[in-house]
Amino acid sequence: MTARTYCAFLIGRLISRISLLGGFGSGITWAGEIALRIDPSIISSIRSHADSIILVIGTNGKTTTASMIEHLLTKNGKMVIHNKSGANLRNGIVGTFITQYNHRKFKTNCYAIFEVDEAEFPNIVQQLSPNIIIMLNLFRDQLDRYGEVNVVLEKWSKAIADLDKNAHLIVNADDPAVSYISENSHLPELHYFGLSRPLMNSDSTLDTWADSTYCSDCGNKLRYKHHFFSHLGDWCCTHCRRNRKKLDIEGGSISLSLSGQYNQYNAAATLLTLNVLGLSTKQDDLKDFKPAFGRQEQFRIHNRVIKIFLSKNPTGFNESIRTVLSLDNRPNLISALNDRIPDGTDVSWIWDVDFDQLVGFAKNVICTGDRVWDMALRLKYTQYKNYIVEENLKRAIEIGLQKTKEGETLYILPTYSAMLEIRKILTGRKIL
Amino acid sequence: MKHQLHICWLYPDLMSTYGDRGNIIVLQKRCEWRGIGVHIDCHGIDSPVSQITRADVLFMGGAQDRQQDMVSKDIAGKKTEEIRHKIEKGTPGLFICGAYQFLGKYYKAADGTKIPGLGIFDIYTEHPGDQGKRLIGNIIVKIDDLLAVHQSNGSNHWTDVIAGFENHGGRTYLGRKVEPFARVVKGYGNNEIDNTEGALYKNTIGTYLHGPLLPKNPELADWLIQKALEKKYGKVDILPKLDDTLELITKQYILKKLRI
Repeated sequence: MTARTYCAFLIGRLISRISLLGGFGSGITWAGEIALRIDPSIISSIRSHADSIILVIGTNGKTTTASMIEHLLTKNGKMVIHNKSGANLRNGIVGTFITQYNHRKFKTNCYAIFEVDEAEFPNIVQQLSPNIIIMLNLFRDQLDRYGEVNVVLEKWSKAIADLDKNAHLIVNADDPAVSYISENSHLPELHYFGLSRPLMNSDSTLDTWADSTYCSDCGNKLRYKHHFFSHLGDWCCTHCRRNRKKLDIEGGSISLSLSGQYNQYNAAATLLTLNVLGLSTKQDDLKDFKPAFGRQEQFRIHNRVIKIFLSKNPTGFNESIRTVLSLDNRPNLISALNDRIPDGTDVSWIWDVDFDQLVGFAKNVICTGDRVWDMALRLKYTQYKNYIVEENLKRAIEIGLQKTKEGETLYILPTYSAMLEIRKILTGRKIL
Repeated sequence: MKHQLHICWLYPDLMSTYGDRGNIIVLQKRCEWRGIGVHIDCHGIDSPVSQITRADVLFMGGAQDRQQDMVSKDIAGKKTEEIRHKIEKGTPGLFICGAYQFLGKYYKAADGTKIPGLGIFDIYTEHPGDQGKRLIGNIIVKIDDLLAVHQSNGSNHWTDVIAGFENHGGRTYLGRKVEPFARVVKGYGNNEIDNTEGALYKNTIGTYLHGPLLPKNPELADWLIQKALEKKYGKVDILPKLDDTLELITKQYILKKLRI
């Protein structure tokens, strides 16, 4: 570290301490922001202090996958720094390094695991020069911020093409678009994960709104031998013969306390990462993994279980509903829709969510959040009629608990900022 | 059922960006609630021209550049001519964002390449280049040119204000043969400069109000349905009113948010 970097590091750390003492939260992003103002190159110094840097990118599953990797590395006795609060922009990553790195403890075998925002990834990947990049998927999400899905794909592709040849790519082979990036990357070390077969009542037909169902190379419609959800599946192009890569690891029956096909992807990516790092794994290694905040996180209140399923884009929401229905065929639900910056200010996407799945199953659906009326209107245009509108989040939870009998579960499907507010109501804290 | 409408949804799996299917759901439900039968043709690559020929309403959603390129190849020739013929003859239609640009003469992409459009609307679109700002945000427009809707619809809660969300890089400029669909009250509209939003030609609307435009603006959905029925069956009764309380509340939320 240069004197300037060291100064930035110390001041950043001081800010985070003050923030903690003052009760303003962990202060990670602020610490990072100030440190970056003092020395913009501080981000590059993470490279010289970590033996391995692992980046996780994708629309859905970043937080859970990064947490799973951290869990297994810690179990293996490794020292790990990890942006577990989900601060995944440049300042969050620098802040994580500043607040968690300790040069006495982290002399050898320090692993840095960062989930990285889709739009931020191309800006910082060069400076971090990661050993491993995990590409989970890419779905439509926060288009008011990212523009178009293809724009993100192109930026990723370019960023990865410029990478050092030693980097390993761990790729979801079931996602034809991210798979295409890996095929064109010129990186020698490519590793693929995917699912062996559909786990639950997945659709045999493709959703019309799925993003990447045409060949990224020749533009022809892809054919799916198995279709899991959105544009993920065992695909092939009948025209140019591109197809799903041979899987290095198959998800599907990995033992987990978390439900849902998407968590099988997260778990498969995790086990494959450990293998690439030269650590052995077993299928039940993740059995004791506890969910990250808001991702199937559970609370117990008045003998009722509350489960939070973060649902922030069409694919995530559809899979949340499908997973809830696989756990409970008469669920009580709350849908909390906010439209703040971290949620995306455009709520158009709820029209891509298939709420008709709830008909005949859901006991109640309580709509709440900043855009409660948009959610109610969406439900009006389905066959589902049993919805309740409550603008106040706290009251919505109270009503939800009243409607839920002892021993039953209340499922809450919130967008990101609504999830933080709900955690605040239930635990007194937003994140950790 | 006395009346039956065919809706042709052009390239749903390619021309669909964010919630476009909301418009189809709303058209379908508002017909069904009034006892009008609906058949939706999901028109894709290699689908027959006859689906366009029998359409009573045409709908096409927004798309990304790459997808639009695939559509261009399929739609060229007979399909384009059929769409032109339908639009000229007054078949109502709704073309959103990328589809709206596509109806025009050309689209100049960010890198300067000129992509020809269908040439049905007298408009053209230019992207200001990579550094140009994308026009993103909630938008409120006023539709004075569609006042006929007001009268034909007869609904007492009609407002001439339409609320939506826009998200586009291209700037569209109108020629003489089309009318603007609306005037911008808050937001950017066609090009940030001339205060116009979208274009109206015969009974076809092109607009940047993307994704689910019709849920919050049911008057527009009813206008399309009414025009489609008149075109197909000649003189028909004015559509019976529906309870649009929820729809109005969502629209008012946007108005309040933008302090109008």
